[in-house]
Order: sequence, then C-alpha cells, then structure tokens
Amino acid sequence: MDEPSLIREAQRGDLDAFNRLVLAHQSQVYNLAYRIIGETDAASDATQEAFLSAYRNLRGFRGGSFVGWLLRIVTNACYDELRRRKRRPAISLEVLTETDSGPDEEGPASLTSPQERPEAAAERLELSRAIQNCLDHLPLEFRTVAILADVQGYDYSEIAAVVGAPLGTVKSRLARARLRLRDCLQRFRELLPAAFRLEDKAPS
Amino acid sequence: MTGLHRLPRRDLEKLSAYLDGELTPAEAARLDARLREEAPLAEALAEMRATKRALGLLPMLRPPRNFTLTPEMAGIREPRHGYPVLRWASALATLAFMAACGLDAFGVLSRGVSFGASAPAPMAAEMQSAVLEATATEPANPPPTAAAEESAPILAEAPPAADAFLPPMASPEIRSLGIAVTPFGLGGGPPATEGDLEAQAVFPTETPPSEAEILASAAATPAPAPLPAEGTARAPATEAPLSRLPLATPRVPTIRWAEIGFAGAAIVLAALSLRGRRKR
Repeated sequence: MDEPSLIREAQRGDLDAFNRLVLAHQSQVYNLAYRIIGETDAASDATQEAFLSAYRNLRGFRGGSFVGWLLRIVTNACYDELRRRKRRPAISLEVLTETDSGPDEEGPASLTSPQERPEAAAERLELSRAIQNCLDHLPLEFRTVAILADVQGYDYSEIAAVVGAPLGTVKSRLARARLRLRDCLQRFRELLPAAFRLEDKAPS
Repeated sequence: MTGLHRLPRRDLEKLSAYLDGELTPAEAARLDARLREEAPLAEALAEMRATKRALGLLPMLRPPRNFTLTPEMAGIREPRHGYPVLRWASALATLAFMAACGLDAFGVLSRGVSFGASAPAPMAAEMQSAVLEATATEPANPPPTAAAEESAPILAEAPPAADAFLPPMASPEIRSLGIAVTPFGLGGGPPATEGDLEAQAVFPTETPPSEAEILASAAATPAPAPLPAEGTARAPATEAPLSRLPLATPRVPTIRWAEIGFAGAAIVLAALSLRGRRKR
C-alpha cells in the first residue's frame, strides 16, 4: 500500500496503517530530534510525543509532504522540551554518570562497521561528537535549519515548510548557521579528514 | 578572521544558496563571474563548502526503539464483549427499579393496608387465629349430609385430632384418606365457609415460619376435648372447597415474584454498570 493510501486509512482511524507510516519515517524523525536536542532519551520522548500528536491530529493533515508534516511536529516537540529545560535547568543522572567521551548514543556500535579499524572508528566517533557539540551551541532556529539542510539534505522549500518560515528567512538562517559552524569546527580541524579540512586560506 | 567573516551578509547568503543550487540561473551566472574575479569570495565559498560537507559526515542514527503506537497510547478502547448490552445497563437498571417500585405500589393499593406485602406472616397468623375463634364460638350444628355420614368410617381410622391439624398443603397421602387438612371444621366447628377458604388460600403455598410455628404449637398442645365422631364426620365437607383452591390462584405472589425479579435485575445491571465504569 502506498503512502497516500496509508494516510487515508490512518485518517479513518486505522492504527495499523498509521504504524506503518511510523516505521517508514521514524528514523528521520528521531534523527532530527536527536540532532536538535542532543540526548538519546529526550529525543526518544520527543519522537514518541510527535507521533502521538500526529495521530491525534491526522485529520488536520491536508496533503503535501507527510514527512515534512511529521518533521514540523517533532521540531515543535523539541522546542517545547528545550524551553522546558531552560525554565527548569537540571542535570540528568545520565549525564553525571557519563565519561568525558560523551553519551553512548554515538558510540562505536552505532558508528562503526565490523571491518573498520579501531583507530578509524575512534576518529569518526570523535568527529561526530565534535560536530554535534558545534550544533548544540547554535541558536535553536539556526540549528534546525542547518540540520535539515546539511545533515538530512532537504531543500529550502521543504525546510521552510518544516520550520514555518519564509524562504528568505531560511536562506539567511542557513548562511549564518554555516558561518558559526565554520568557526566552531576550526577548533576540531585535526579531527576532520584532509578532504574536509578547513583552511584559513583559500585553496589556490 | 576567515574569508567568510569578511563578506557582506548579502554575499554570504548568496554563496550559501549557490552551494545548495537554490539560485536562479541568472543569479548563479552572475556569481560564477564574480567567483572567477574575486579571490576572497572564492575562498569564502570553499570554507562554506567544507563546512557543509563536514556536517554531512554525521551519520543517520538507528532509532533506539520503534515508536509505533499501541491502542492504549492512541486512546483507542477495544469494544468489550457484550458492550452493546452493557452500555444501556444504567438505563435498564433504572427502568427495572421503577418497575419494581411501581409493582410494589400497585400491590399495596390493590390489597389494601391489611394485605400489605410487607408482613405476610403475622397476617397469616391472624387469619388462622380468627378462623379458630370463629369455629370455637359457634355451636356445633352438624350438617347432616350424606357425604359426611358416608365418610365417617374412614375418618374413624383417622389419627387423633392433633394429627388432623395439619398445614393446608398436607401430603397427598393424607388427603387421599379423606382427612380434613385444614383447621376448618375441627373441634366441632362448622365446616369452613367459602370465604374462609379463600382467605386461607391467600397464603396456601408460602407457609411462613411464624405460621408453621403456630401450627406446630397447636399440634403440641393437647386437644381440648375428644373429638366427637360427628365433628370429624363433618370434616369431609371441606373437600369440595379444597378442590377449588387452585382456582383461587393468589395474585400477590405473582406480583411479588415480578417485584423480586425487577429488583434483582436492577441490582445486577447497576453492578455491571459500575464495574464497566471502573474498568474505563
């Protein structure tokens, strides 16, 4: 059954049809939540909350990109979570028990393949954490746009639909986000592969 | 300071859009021309491209679990077996309760105050005592009927008077012997009138404990006097009215059973309704 048919069935209350849509899109939704929040548990909660909200408001979906609609819901769920944390800052036990290497989410098991050398796996892990750290320090609006464009590969119109902003705003936010990320990544340049390394001087 | 920081904001946005292929062909052509001539602009473009590619190194993570919804999470309640009936349980319980109350009120009005269904046992005792008094005060006037005289030999073999003082619904063996199974006509009293029998028939089957006690105590007390032969001879005269007992089918027990049925239905339905609400 194709996606429009599944959506119609789900709008009639078919939970199985909706769950098939969940399985098809949960990876994108969860990855966006994780990149915005930066924590496994909170990202899982936001993802679950987003799917629950999507099911309850499915009749309000009027066509267009279904995954874009889901991403917009999860983005709002992430914003709510981050605002809640800002109002009531707390340190989770998970963070306190972690080592300096960071959370387990992007541990070797999730990033490496069995054929990869341990050294290469460790370097990739370090790089991922460095980039995530740079994303975490971006303003929220910039962060979301950068993730959608450069991590998940959406075009400007899709990003505009997800974040609910005009195209010009998306263009401006993305350019400024890249500028800030470039500055942040300069601190981790030794982690980047040679082909991706940022140089202070333009290549000749 | 990198090349990106030296760029005007408008150029920065154009470079970003150029990287993503979001410029119109005309805008892209103009920027291409500038990139060939302006080295800082080309430097800034290279930095931005490297940043974009670095972000692309982030892997797609595998979700830690599935996020499918369960019916409970979605707020979907599975229809329970028998739900179409139970959903009306409250209304049915109310109707049954009202029917029980209505029947009760109807029974009270139709029977009058003395026939209130709330105290059948005392009334039965009163009826028995009233009949016994009536038979004791009236003089013995044996009805010289042929049937009574014919039954005399049979009654002569009958047990003492105390034994004859049996409940109305005595065993069929006793009744087949022609023994008077009602108190009427005992002790030399007249045979029971039709009205008496009807009054007795009001409580024929539901012999309440109090009535049984009365009858038992009456049986235990010694007979006041030996029963005259003619007194016992009149007893068979009660057989004819007794045969009409089924015709005087009591109305009160029927109503009483209906009341009990409706009240029971009301209780059961109310319990089912409460149970259903608690499970939600």
